[in-house]
Amino acid sequence: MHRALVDRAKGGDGEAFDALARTVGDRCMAIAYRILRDADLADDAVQAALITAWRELRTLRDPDRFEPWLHRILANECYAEARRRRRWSVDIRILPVDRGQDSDGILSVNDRDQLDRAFRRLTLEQRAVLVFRHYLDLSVVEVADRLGIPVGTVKSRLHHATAALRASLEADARPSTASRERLA
Amino acid sequence: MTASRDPDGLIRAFLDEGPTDLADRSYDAVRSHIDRTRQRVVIGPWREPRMSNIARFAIAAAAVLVVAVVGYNFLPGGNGPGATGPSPSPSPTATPTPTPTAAPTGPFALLAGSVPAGTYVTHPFLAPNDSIGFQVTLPAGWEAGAPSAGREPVGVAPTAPGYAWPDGMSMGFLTITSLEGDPCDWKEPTDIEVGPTVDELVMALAANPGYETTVPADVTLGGFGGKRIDVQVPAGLDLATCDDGQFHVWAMGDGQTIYAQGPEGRFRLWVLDVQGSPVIVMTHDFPGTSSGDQAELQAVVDSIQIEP
Repeated sequence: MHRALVDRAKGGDGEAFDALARTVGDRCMAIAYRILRDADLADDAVQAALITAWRELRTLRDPDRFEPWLHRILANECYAEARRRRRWSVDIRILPVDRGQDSDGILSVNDRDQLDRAFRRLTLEQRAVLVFRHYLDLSVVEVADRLGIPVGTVKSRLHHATAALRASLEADARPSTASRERLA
Repeated sequence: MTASRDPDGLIRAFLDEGPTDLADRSYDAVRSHIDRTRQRVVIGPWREPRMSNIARFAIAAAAVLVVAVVGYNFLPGGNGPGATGPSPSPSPTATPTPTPTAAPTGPFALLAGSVPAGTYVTHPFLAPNDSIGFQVTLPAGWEAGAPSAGREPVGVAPTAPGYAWPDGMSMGFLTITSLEGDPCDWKEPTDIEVGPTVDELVMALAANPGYETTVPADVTLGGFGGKRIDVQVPAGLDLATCDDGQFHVWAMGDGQTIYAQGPEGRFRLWVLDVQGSPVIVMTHDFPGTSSGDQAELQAVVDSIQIEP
């Protein structure tokens, strides 16, 4: 689908790259947000990833692999963006939660808060694996390919991340209603 | 309360939440940025582990992206682009230089791939410099590399020891349009545009604090005068501290870039005035390159004749 645009963009056609970016940018934003849990950081990471992609586009050998290639760049830009921001805001631990889409009421407010806290305690690399596996619905092998890491590493990160999130939900099931009201 | 809860379902629901649109202003910002950003070709065999040694060599020898080297035929009997087999050089007046090994053949059109010993001609540049030809005599055991199926080779290197650190070597033909202001932090837009003359280019190289250079010296090569200058990756520099572990030095006329193929890599440049424009013959080697190999490389350089 993107092949013609990629080929033109590789030849230095900025308009083609702009069109290409607009076909993949929303998905990139969705991924970046879910890794970083902050819309501003995600926006910056996506912009950086697209600029890097433009700059490095001639190194992409197979135009049909543009999006997986871009997603790997995006993951790296997410890591970099988070680390950059961390330098300047070491004391800010809880970033604003932006909620665009809703989950059709599946999640209670408390579930969401517990998951959000647990998610933020994960490493960025663990978050990325979770997002690629469960949000993009990729297989473990595909996640490994897209992130450029071994399958075993994907499985390990996935196991630890999922266990941490499950634990947060299980812990959440134990507190009394009163403690939840206090949080609210 | 929790009996009917599906933790994995909740995790998926959690991940489904959140924005899914990139703002128009962000697209506009990207567009604005790319309009000011030159595309790079980052040459790196690590990005394509299935590439053959020939393709890998081409990357280093001329530091250009190699896409279609594999499958090229080489002389004699080659049928690559623009050639149907061994053919005389377009410059019958060119005088072959004595070769390091007996090779009473050529000059032939140089095609990408392994080449038997002999004298060859290549036209490595894009327009408007596409008429410039380089005649070069190669010993046995060398390979030529082209940036793409439609281009003639832009560089050569021995199959062994190859082009890369710690003991490899290569030679290429190029033009330079800009220098990296900081070769280690090359992803930052610190490009230094260079003037159109040999002196301006050499002065810019010598003035760049990002690497060590020799004092430019007058030189004649292939029938043309110019300057010779060595550019050296600083001793002790840990390339792992550079962007992507690479030390980028300059951009070429076709927008591609060259970077050192290992620690303490040395670029030796013959910056020649060919009809008013700086045209460069470049070698790349390392402290570990043997003196015998260096002598072979120098013999290849000395064999060069330039056809403007």
